Amino acid sequence: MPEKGKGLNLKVYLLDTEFEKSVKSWLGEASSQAGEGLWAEVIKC
Amino acid sequence: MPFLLAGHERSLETCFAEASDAARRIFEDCAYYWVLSDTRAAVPAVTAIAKAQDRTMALSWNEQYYNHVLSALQFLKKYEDLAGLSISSHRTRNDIERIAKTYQGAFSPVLILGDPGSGKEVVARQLWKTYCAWQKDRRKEREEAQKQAQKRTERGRPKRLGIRG
Repeated sequence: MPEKGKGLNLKVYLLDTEFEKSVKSWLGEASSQAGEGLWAEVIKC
Repeated sequence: MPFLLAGHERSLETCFAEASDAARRIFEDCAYYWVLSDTRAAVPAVTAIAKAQDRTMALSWNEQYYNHVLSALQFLKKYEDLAGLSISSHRTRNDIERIAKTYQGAFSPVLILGDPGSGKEVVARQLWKTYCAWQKDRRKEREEAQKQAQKRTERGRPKRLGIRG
């Protein structure tokens, strides 16, 4: 995962913790597709 | 920063229904957020906003909808000198892209209006930067096409045989 501020940055507000795994795998897929890398901060609400 | 709201359809509905006025303004005016759920969520609030803004906002992690997010983030990264995530900032970025990628590009007469300190100079610089990058890409494409054409010509040329009369 790239450093914050470099590459693409995204904040993820997780409303249901039961979906953490699915969301993280979605982000993993997205990150592997993003050439410059994706930095995502997951915030549990 | 662009954001994703992820969760169950019901939680998302509650989130939109109980949003404060400030949050509601963000939902209506921000061009860089998405809603991620197990289905391509039919959250009424999102559907209405998406229709008004003519964009895909409701995404599903069961399908490869991350391309929408990635292309928007890449677009935003390209114009990182321009601040703002609002719909109007997004339109400004689109306008720069549209004008820069024309025949005259950055040499087209463009009138940039705005209050002092709103970033008119930044827009002008970005227009020039986008135009130069686009010209560079086009030059590369042309050179590549020329190389390919040259290779094809060389391949088609008959070989000399070592026969002397």
